[in-house]
Amino acid sequence: MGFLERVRQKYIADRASGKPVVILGIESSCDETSASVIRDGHEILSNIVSSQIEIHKRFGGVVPEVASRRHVENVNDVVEEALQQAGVTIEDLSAVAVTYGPGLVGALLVGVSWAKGLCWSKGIPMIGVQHIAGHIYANFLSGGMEPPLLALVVSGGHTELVHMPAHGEFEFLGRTRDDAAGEAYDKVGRAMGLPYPGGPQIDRLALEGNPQAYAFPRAWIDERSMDFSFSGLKSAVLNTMHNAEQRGEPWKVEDISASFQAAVVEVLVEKTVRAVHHTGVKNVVVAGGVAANRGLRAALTKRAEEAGFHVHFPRFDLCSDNAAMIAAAAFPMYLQGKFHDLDLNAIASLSLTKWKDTPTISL
Amino acid sequence: MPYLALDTATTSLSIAVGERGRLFGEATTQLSRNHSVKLMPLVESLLESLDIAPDQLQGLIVGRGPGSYTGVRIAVTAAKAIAFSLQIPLVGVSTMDGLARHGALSDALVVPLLDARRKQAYTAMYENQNGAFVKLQEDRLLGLDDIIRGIHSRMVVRRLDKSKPAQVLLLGDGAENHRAELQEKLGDKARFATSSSQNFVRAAHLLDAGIAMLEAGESHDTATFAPEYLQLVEAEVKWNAAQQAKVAVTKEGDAK
Ligand SMILES: [Zn+2]
Repeated sequence: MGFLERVRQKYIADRASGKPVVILGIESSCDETSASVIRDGHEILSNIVSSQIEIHKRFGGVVPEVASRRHVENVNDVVEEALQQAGVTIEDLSAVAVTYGPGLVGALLVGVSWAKGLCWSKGIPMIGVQHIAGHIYANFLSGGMEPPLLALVVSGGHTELVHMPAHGEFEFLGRTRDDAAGEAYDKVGRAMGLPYPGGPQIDRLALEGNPQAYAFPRAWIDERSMDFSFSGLKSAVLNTMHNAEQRGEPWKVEDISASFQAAVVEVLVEKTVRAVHHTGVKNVVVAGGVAANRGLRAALTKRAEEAGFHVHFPRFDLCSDNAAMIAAAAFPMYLQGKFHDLDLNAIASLSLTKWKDTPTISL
Repeated sequence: MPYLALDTATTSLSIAVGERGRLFGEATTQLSRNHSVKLMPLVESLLESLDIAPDQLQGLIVGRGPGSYTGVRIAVTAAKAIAFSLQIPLVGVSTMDGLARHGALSDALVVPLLDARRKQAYTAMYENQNGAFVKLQEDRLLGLDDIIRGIHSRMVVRRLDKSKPAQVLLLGDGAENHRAELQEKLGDKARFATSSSQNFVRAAHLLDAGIAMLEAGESHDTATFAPEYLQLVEAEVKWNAAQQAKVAVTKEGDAK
């Protein structure tokens, strides 16, 4: 019996039995090998994240080939640990969800090849997940979340305002024209001599500094634009530090951090308010690594109260890359019976809006 | 109970199914640009046409390289997942075996060459000794000059052994790409593949090598198993060099 037929029979039997939907998620798009087991789309039974950050620190950033090699060595143990901690066996799995883009292609291929090997062996439905959609769905792990939603996606590679009218459907309202917010954080962090990655350090230092110490620019682009630009801000910060050093004046890392963060956060918050007004959608979720930023959380929560909309952040530990969010994003597709075939490929530049276009088999 | 062998370390995508001394089926493609897309559908269709279900497999054999980085990981990763899911043993075999065994019946020295660019190749040495195909030298990454030097010195050994002709069979894309130079420097000692079908990796050869190991009780730890890259990542080489430079500086400092 062929793979698709085995998958079809399993799906029909599992749906008829009325047992809970148990999805194994696998994520390997960058430098974290992660596996997670999720029940009914939001209940986390396990979420194992094996970080390579200590390995890549010495190189000053992620080395793609090193990351891929580590994923190969880690993946079996990480999945085994996730199954064990969840108290389930492969036989209990309803489906397997795997990140297939965007990301480092060599790294993505490890997760994708592994998922295909498992699904083929056991006739399990497989769902390829777009990584950024995963970050958005990290908010669904708290339960009770339904589209339509607005998503503010902020990470090292992304700064986007996204409208999500229905499950799996996304349209861009605005995006960065140059650096991503997280990228600006990392570059400013490096210039101040902070250890990699700089974002969390700046967030911490900002609490102790004066956000009005420096008047850094805010790029509004034009009155209605929901696009972002952070390269001007980044240059202004670097120039300020450079000029101070030229004049032999000291600068306080806390004040630079606080003033820089205030500029980033103000733009993120106000553009989100614009998106709420523009769409009339009153539920906002924040997604990506920068969703853990305390300054952003405080400012956006306060502004949402004033402007009369609801904002939701993922749990702190679910802001960075993890497989629980990948499994969560696959849940609506599982319910629709939309799966991927064994020719699923890793796509380094897979766009959020293109996710729904990848050919799926409908059972 | 059949075994499954997979290799994606080179441009050839090859899979085979069989038991000890009996090949059930093999599928090999040469034009695949995307092993990641093609591997599992090919496995699926070969097993389907043999009426073998995945849970009938009793062991897995995978070419562990050396070879192109991303390529070699495709089959290794899939094999790790299949062995884990079906709870069956996995053994990694040198991809060189998959190429060299085209020359298993030859009385010449057999040298597989997988082109690694910059006039380098992944290589090893084999010969037939009383009917057994024996690996004389482990896989290495060498420059063409060193490869030729190694062959010459092996020829000296062979000349002492009257039963072995002073001939070398050069196989693989490395042999094809550097054919003129190899011919010039090795003269009439050099022999090449008589058909293009002898210049690529075949999973059926891995099956032969791997089944012998598995049935002798040898297998790899599925969890920690990884390809044999034979090369550090460039960033690691640079970092190691920088560390060594630091140590050298510190030592000089100590001396003063
Ligand atoms: Zn991410």
